[in-house]
Amino acid sequence: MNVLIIEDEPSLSRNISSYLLQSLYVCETVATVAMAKAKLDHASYDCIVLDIGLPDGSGLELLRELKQKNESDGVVIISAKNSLDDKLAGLGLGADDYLTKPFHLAELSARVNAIIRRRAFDGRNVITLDRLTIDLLCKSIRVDDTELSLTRKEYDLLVYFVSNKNRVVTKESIADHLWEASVQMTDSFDIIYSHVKNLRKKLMEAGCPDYIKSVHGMGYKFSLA
Amino acid sequence: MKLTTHYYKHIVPAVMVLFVAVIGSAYFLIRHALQRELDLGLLRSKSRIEAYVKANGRLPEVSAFDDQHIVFEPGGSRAAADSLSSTMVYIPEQKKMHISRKLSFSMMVNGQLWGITISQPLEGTRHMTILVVEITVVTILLTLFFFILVNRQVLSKIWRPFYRSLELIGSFKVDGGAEPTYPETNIDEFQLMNTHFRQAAENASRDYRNLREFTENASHELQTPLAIVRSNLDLLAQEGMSERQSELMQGVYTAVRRMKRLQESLLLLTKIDNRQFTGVDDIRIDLAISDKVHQLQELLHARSLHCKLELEEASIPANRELLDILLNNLFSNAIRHNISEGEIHAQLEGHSLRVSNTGAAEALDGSRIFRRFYKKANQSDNNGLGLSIIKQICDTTAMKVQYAFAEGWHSFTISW
Repeated sequence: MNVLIIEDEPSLSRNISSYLLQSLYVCETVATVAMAKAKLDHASYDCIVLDIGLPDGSGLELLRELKQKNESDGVVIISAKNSLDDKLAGLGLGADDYLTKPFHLAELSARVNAIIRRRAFDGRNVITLDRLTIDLLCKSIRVDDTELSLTRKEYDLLVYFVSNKNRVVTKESIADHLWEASVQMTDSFDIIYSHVKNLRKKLMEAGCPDYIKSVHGMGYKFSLA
Repeated sequence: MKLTTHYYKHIVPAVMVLFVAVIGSAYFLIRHALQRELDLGLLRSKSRIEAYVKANGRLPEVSAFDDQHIVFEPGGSRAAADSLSSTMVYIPEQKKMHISRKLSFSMMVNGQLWGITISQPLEGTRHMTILVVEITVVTILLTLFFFILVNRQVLSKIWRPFYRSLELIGSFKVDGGAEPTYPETNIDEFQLMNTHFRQAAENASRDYRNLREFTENASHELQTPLAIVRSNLDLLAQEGMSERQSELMQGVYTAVRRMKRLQESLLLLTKIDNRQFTGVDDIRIDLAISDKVHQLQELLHARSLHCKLELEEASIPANRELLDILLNNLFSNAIRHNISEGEIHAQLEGHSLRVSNTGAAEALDGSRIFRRFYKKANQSDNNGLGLSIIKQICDTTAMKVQYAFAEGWHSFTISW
C-alpha cells in the first residue's frame, strides 16, 4: 500500500509518514503542487493525503485535475480551513474525507485505513485479526464464530483501536473521534474510561486475550501480543 | 438646546436693542422736524405781522380762532432780537398746561415799541410723534413676527440634510452592509460634513474588516503549528515513557486541546461576524433539542444529571449549523456548570426556549457573562467564549438571549 503525502510543512509530513509507516504503508512526501503533479504522472497511489494551502497553488485545484483524469486514488484532505463550505467543496470534488488541522495522527491513520480498505475490498470489507472478525459494512463483530454485541460507541472504539494497532492512542484523540466537536469536557475522559472498560470486558468474556492495554493514564494501546 | 433656539436667543435681544434705538431716534427726529416746521410757521406769522404793520401802520387784529396766540405788549425801550423758546402755556379751552413754542420779538409801530409774542402749542406735534412711534412699533412687531416665521421655515429646510446625515451616521454599523447615501446638499459646510462622515465610516469599516480578516488569518495560521505540535506528541507517545514523562506529555496534550478550542471558537465568532453562515431553513427546534439532548446523553449520565424536557412543537427559521452550535453550547453549559445529581430543565413554548439548570448558589454577573473571555476563576477547561458565541448567534439571527437566576436555578432564555 502506498500513500502520497502532499503537505508543505516538512515536519508535519515527516510525522504523518512515520506514523503511517507503522501501518505498513509506504509513504512518499512532496511539498508543492508541481512536485505532486510530477509524482502523480508516473504512479498511482492507494491514498493521497492532500493539504489545501500549498505554496504554488491550491490543493483543491490539484484534486480537480486528478479527478478529471479519472484517477481512482483515494484522497483525504487535511486543511487549516474548517468551514463547512470548504469541506463540501472538497468532498464535492471527489475527496473521500476531510480533516481539519490540528488532527490526531491516530485519526488520520483511521481515515486513511478506511479509504484504502474501502477501495481495496470493494463490496466485502472485513478485517480479520487474530480471533476477531470485523465486518465494516454491517458494523458487526464476531469473536471466532460468535457474534459480539457492542454498543455503537464500543464498536467505533474497537475499530479505531484496530486502525491504530500497536500504537498508543491518546484519550484526547479518542474523545475527538467519538464526539467530534460536541463534547468539550474533561468529563469525556471518564466516559471513555467506562467505554473501554466495558469493551475489554466483553472481549475477554467472549474468550479474547486482553488486547487493550492502558498506557500510563495517557491512553490505550491495542495489540495482539 | 436646539441651534435655532440658540440663534434666537442671541438675535432677538440684538434686534430688540436695534428697534429701541430706531424708535428713540425716530421719536427725536420727527419731533425735531415738526418743531422746526412750527418755528417756521411762527416766523411766517411774524413776517405777516410786519407786512400788515407796514401797509396799515397799526397792529393787526388777533383772531381768537387761530391756533397761534399772539400777544402785543407795549413797552420796552430797545428792540429785542427774535427769540424762539419752549414754554409751558395754559390753554384755557382745555384747562391744561401745554408745551408751546414761543417766538418773541419787538417792533416799532407808529413810534411805539411793541413786544410781540407768538406762541403755538406743541400738541399737534406730540400727537404726530406718538402716531409715528406707534407705526414704528407695529412695523417692528410685524417684522419680528415675520422674521421668526420665515426663519423657522427656512432654517428647518436648510437644516434638513444636516439632520438626515446625522440620522444616517447614527444608524451606521461597521459590520452592516452598504454605506449610507447622504442627502444632496449645496451648502458647503454640510458637504464638508458629509465628506468627513463618509471618510470616517469608510475608515471604521475598513479597520473593522482588517481586524476581522486578521482574526481569521491568525486563527487559521495557528492551526498548522498546532498540527505540528500534536503530530509530534502523537509520535512521542509511541516511545516508551516513564509515568512522569507521560504526565508531562498529558499536560502538553491538554494545553494543545485548549488552544485548539480557543482557535476554533475565535474563528467561529469571526465567521458569525462575517455572516458566513448563510442559508436559512425552517427547523423543527423541538426535534433539534431532543436530538441534542440525546447526543449529550452520555455526559448527562456521567454526572448523574436529570434532564426534563417540555417541548411544544415549534419551527424556527435559522441556519442549521448555527442552531446546532447554539443548542450545543446552551446544553453543554447547563451540564458543565451543574452540580452532581443536578437537574436541567428545557422549556419550549411559542417563540421562546428556556434552559435552566441547577448550579452555583450565586448568580452570575449578568452584565458580563456574554463578554468574550468572561470566566470565573479556576475554570481552566472553559475558554470563556461559549456564551459570547450564543450571544453572537442570537444577535445575527434576530434572536434575544437573557440570563436569569432564581433559587439556585440559572436560566437562559432565547426568544425570537
